[in-house]
Amino acid sequence: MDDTEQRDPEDIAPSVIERYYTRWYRADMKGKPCEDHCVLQHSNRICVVTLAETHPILQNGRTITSINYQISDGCSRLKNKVSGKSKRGGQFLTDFAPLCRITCSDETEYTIYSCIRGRLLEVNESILKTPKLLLEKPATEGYIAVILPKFDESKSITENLLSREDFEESSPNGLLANRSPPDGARCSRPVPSPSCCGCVYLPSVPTRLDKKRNCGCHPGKVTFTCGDS
Amino acid sequence: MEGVRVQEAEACFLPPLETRVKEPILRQPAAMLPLKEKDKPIVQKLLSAGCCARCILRFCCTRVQAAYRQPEQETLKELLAFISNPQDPAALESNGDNKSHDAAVSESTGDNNPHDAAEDPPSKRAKLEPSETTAGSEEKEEEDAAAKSRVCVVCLGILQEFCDTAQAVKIAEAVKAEKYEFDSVMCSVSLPAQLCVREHSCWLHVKKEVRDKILVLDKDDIIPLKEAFKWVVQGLVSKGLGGVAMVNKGGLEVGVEFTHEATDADCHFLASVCPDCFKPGKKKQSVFTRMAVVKALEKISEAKFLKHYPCPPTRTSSCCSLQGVQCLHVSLFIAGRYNKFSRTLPQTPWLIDGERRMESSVEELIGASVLSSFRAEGFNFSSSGREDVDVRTLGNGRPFAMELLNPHRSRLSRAEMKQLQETINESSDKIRVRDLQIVSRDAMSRMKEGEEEKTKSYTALVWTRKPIQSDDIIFIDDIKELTLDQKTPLRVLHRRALAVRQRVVHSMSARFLDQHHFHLELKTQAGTYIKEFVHGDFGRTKPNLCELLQTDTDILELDVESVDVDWPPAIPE
Ligand SMILES: [Zn+2]
Repeated sequence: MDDTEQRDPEDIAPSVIERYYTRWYRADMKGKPCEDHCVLQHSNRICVVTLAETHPILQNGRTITSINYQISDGCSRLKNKVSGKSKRGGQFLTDFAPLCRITCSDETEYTIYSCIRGRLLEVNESILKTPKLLLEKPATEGYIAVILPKFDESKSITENLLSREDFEESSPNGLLANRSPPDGARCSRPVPSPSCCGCVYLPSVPTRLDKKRNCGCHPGKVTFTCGDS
Repeated sequence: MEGVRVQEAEACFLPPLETRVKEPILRQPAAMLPLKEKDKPIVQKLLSAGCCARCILRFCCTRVQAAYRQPEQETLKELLAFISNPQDPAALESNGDNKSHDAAVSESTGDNNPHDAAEDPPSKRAKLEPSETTAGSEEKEEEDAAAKSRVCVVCLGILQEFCDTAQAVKIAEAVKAEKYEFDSVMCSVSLPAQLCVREHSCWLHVKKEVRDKILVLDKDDIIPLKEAFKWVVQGLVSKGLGGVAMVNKGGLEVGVEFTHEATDADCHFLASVCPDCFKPGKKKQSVFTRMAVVKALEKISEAKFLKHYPCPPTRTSSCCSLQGVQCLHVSLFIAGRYNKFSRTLPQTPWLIDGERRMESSVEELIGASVLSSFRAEGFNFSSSGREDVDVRTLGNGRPFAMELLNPHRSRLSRAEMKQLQETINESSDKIRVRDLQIVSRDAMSRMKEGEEEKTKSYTALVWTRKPIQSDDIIFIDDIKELTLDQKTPLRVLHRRALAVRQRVVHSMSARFLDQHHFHLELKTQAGTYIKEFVHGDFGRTKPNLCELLQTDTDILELDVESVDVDWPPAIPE
């Protein structure tokens, strides 16, 4: 919903992530220093799990030797399949469900966790083919997984996570301070106007034909339908 | 035995003398009613139970509409004659075919033989009345008062006083007051739920009798009360409305609602026998809806029913009452094309948690004038695809259609439609409408059919992270028929199935603006997600513009230049 704020046209145009997603962090995952995770939550409640910029994997020019979504003998995240609008069949994850294990060239292995409760929709197979995506674009093409929280948990799942502000404050050495937004001159034209998914409200006209449905973008009492282009 | 029964029945059902004098009664021989010998015991039982003449016809499964349309008193007389003449060969033999009797009844009603009331000796009635009450005690007085009233124990007056001309005129006047434009009228009737209970009781009453005589009669064969009511009343209402056609579907629906004060009291026993059929609803005033009662009657055993409810149903002096007449005109459909010139205008009202996010919407800007022109109560808006709130729709516009709910006006001329279009266009500079026309419901599907195969043209304003020269983007113009693999975009994934869809970008053309911006024109297969093609959607659309240009790209503005669906037909200006 932050993305719907009227911004001053003189402001720097926000990126796709800034426009549509809220960033949440889990610092020092399982007590391991700096193993920070980031959860990008879309205004439609879908979450994308990524490595935080501060994660050890992304420091000091390390290289990745393997990414393994097979998290135990019996369970592979690669076998996850969802079908239909209701995403039947997806593995249900809790906060500390492992998503994958990443091994770096110095033989250290890191486990990446779900961070939130929800249904696993997809994992990123592109990073299996091209592990350097994870290093070069950790916040976008190098994402780890897409998770759909339950509709009624879409707000509560982030309660245990840190906001970007809190995370920056808590992060030692002001690591993030050096990670200011990319400096390429952004557009100074009027900013793309607010739209989450293009959700719109159906009028409640008295008709037998009128079938309302909730798109799920906006937890609340309203019924919506969504835009397409 | 038989004689006694007849007398009772007659005593109960003959109207007060003055009524009989006022209404000229058509004279017909009893044989004209399409009844067979086997109907006799049913007629007899129902008469003594206190059924009205038309309900008796229903229970005899008579589908001859004219028999219902003739005055109730006349039918009653014929029924009495029918049962008092056990050896009538005409009634016995020649009643095998209902059709022939349909004709017979129609003919004789057409004859209009005025019947002098004097021919019916009032002395007969006077003689009978005391015989009925002689055995009466104090306790029975109330019961007798009910017995004397001629309110039918099954229909509680629906096929009696509510079938007369005065009631039909009342209904017609109520319709006229709403000032509708209409070509045809359809009647619908809503009846109090206990009529089902009473009908069930009466059915069990006759079923008992007829089973001994091995006559076949199933509850489903009984003519539904609603149907019989319509047979009588529809024609009268139509006449009251100047002879408009009565139809079974479409046109103006005239809903006639009846209620009865004792519905809950009459149905109450069902709730204790079948409590699960009567779960209290949130807004409903009574749990005894017709649906619930019918369901309970299907479940309840005959023995249980008879234990809790009198068979035949008790007499009452209270009639149903006409609760109201509600009119609903069948939906009307209009179509056209719209342009949207604003990036802060959603297509339909956009509310989050009950709060409005945007001032207006395309459908509201169009709808306001349309509603007032057609004097409709509401509308449903649909279109060939839909643009996001920040996307403009230019060119010839996007085909749309509207279902107008309960329109009071239904005949707008071409000139009036043109005027309406002008009114809409003058009302706002954020949108523009063309090709506005009335269409059929079926034609609307053409709009949706065209959606998938057609091409759409767009212009996008693209930002690049790396500075670009005009030469850097020339190669884009040479890309033809580029097939994209688009995973369901994250922004719609919550409500759409996850899939990889192949979509074709037929052609592109880039126009350099400055070192970080250019305009990209695209012609694509319908269903291509343009925003995701430009920013890549976490690499989930491949290839994407970031890959093609080897830098991050983002989409700042998007315009739909054309939606190539050739419906609705263009209207020359
Ligand atoms: Zn009746």
